[in-house]
Amino acid sequence: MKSMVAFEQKSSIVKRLRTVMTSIVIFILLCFLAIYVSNFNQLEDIQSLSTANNLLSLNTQAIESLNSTEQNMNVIFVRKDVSELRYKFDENLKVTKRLLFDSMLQSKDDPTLSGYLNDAIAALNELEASHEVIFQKIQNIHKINSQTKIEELNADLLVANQYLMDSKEILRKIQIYITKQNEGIFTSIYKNRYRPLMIAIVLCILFLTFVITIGWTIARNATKSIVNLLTATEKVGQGDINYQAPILEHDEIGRMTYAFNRMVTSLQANQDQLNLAMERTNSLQSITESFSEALTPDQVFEVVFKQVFTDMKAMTGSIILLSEDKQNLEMKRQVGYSEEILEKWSKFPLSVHTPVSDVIKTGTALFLTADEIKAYPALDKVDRLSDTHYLIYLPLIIEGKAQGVLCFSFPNTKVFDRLEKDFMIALARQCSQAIHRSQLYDDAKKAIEVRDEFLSIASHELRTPLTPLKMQIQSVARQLGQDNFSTLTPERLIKMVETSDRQISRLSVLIDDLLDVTRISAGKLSLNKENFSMAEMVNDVVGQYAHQFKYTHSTVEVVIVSDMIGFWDKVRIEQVIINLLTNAAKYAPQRPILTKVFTEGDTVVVQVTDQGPGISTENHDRIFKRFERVSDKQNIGGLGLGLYICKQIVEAHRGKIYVKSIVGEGATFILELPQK
Amino acid sequence: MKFQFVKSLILALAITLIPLNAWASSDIVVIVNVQNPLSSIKVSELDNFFMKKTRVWPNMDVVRFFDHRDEHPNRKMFLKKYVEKTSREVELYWIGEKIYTGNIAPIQITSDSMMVAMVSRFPGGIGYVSKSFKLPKTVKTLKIVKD
Repeated sequence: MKSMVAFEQKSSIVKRLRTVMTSIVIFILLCFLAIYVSNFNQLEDIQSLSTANNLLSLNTQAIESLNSTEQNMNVIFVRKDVSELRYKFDENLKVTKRLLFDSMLQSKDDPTLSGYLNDAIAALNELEASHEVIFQKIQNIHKINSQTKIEELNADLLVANQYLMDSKEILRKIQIYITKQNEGIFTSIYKNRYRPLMIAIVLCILFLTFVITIGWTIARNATKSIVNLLTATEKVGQGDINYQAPILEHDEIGRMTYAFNRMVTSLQANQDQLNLAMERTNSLQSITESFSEALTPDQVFEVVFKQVFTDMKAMTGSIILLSEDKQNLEMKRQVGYSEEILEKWSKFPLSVHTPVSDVIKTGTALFLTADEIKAYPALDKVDRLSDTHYLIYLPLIIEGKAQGVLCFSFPNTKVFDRLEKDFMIALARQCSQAIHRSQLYDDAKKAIEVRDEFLSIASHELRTPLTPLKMQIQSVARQLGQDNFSTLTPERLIKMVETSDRQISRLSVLIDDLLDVTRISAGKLSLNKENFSMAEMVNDVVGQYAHQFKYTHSTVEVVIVSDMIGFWDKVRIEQVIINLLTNAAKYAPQRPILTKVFTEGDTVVVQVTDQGPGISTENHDRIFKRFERVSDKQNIGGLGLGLYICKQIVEAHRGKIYVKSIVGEGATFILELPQK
Repeated sequence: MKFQFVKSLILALAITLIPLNAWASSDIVVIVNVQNPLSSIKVSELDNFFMKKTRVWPNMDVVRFFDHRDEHPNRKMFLKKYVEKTSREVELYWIGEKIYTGNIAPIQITSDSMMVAMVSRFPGGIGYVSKSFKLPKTVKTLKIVKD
């Protein structure tokens, strides 16, 4: 048995597609991220640019404020009232410093710019201090009366101017620095203006390559597996059922390929079994044909042992059938058994516990190993074929009942599978049918023989009374033609009429019997019941037929022990009694006949006993059948219908009629009739 | 006629005085604040201080160069002797500096006395005055040596 290939529970194609879809989603997310990052740099640049512009604007305002301060300084000596000028100075310086502080807040991440701004603020502080000195001196300008003091004031102004220049210079540097930064940002933006587009294009190309590669790989693998499967299908279709498709991947197609291989393997096994079954069918057909040609049980047995035994390659074989009394089993035919076994088992009672009796009782086939056969204690080691055989007992079922057993033995090494067991059972069934057919054939043949015999007897019986009747009539006619009336004496005429009447009566009885049988067969036997005394009826019959008994020199003694008046068909019961008495007179002429009437409860019994040759036990039932007679050897006429008609009449009255007899000691026919 | 003569006289005097002034103005000295530890610098260093290429002294004091106005004879002498550029060239230089570096030209002083006063005010102050000018103790001359 091939080992099971481990397949994933989940669909690998679905799993692969899921992986691909996940990869695609991740890839797309990464693409978005990459585009965002690339744009983020530009956004940062733009933000920096915006900040720089703000700084530049602040710086420009600061420079303008310083210019205003410078202008104010230039007119400091022209103004008479410097308080307003001083206020403007202070305001301008405050505004400038405020602008620089704002700039510092915005440029805290840039150390160079922060350094510049600090320097500028320091210069402004110096400027503010120098202004303070100047304005103090200007307030006391009336006290300045020497060239030295004027020069000193002038120097103060120059110092303030110097600080102003310092401040302007620093602010100018800041302006240039920011401008250069802006240029750098502009350059960066300009240089990177196509970067997002390029990234997007590259990502698209990578994405397409990825999708195409994955798709192509999946498609290639799937296609390869499908092509392999297709090739395998074609090869198997062309008859190569040994071909196994290779399993490339453990996915759905791999699973399908595995199932296909299993199917092919199964097909191969089925093909072998089919071949075997066909072989067996052919064999069975051949055997059936042979059986159909076998008409008798012997021919059937011959077929069983010539063909079946040979085909099965059995070691021994036998056919055992139930005997007619259904109590014994008889070995009808055997092959391969020892004399010892044959002597012991040629006929044995059904009650003995053997596999054969089990099969007969159950109607089921038995397939017994050497160990299993030991369960039957009635079989010794010789009977068990030294415990080296596999034994098969097949029932021969006829009309729904096991009527026999077909026995075979095989070497212990032989193994029977279900198919072979079925074959053997089918064989036994065919054999049963053949045996049944042969039995039917036998019965039919016997029935035809009986019919032919009956026709022969009937024609003879019908012809027998006609011949003397015809002779009587011809004799009278001849004598009347010759006008020879002298010989036709009344006595002779009376005798001739009596003879003719007897023959006609005999003919009438024969025809009545035939008509009765026809009625019985058609189910049209009708009874006209009335109450009458059985004893009276018997006495009347004996009285009526006294001349006939006289003719056979028989004496009939009637013994009435007890009588019964019953509700019966008088004519038919008379017919029965007459039949029994005439039979007794016919088969035991010149011997006394005893007729005894007595009652047993509500049943009346009539016994007719003769002292004839008697009837053997095996004929006790047969004589009551149609066309059956006790013996053909006594040259006694009759159609063999009398007792059959009697039995039918008695059974129509729900009574019984039977015979008790021993050969050579006469016979007693007993009629039992219920009162109603 | 009369005015023609006066004009000719003035021209003659001017022509006569020019070489005298040139001689007189050629005698300038570079002065620094008395706190400045240096006693001499090279010509190129002086040029760098003037052009604001060097902004601090070795002692990290900020260099504050004071220049004379363009019409002052000392300036022409100074430019010729140490900077080796004409006034126009220096003007163009500062225009360029203002545009490209933000540096502004040094404050121009009207007189030597004011020059001395300004140098005295700033520890990193540096300027030039006529050699004949009597220097106070707040400043000192700086010897300029050739490169």
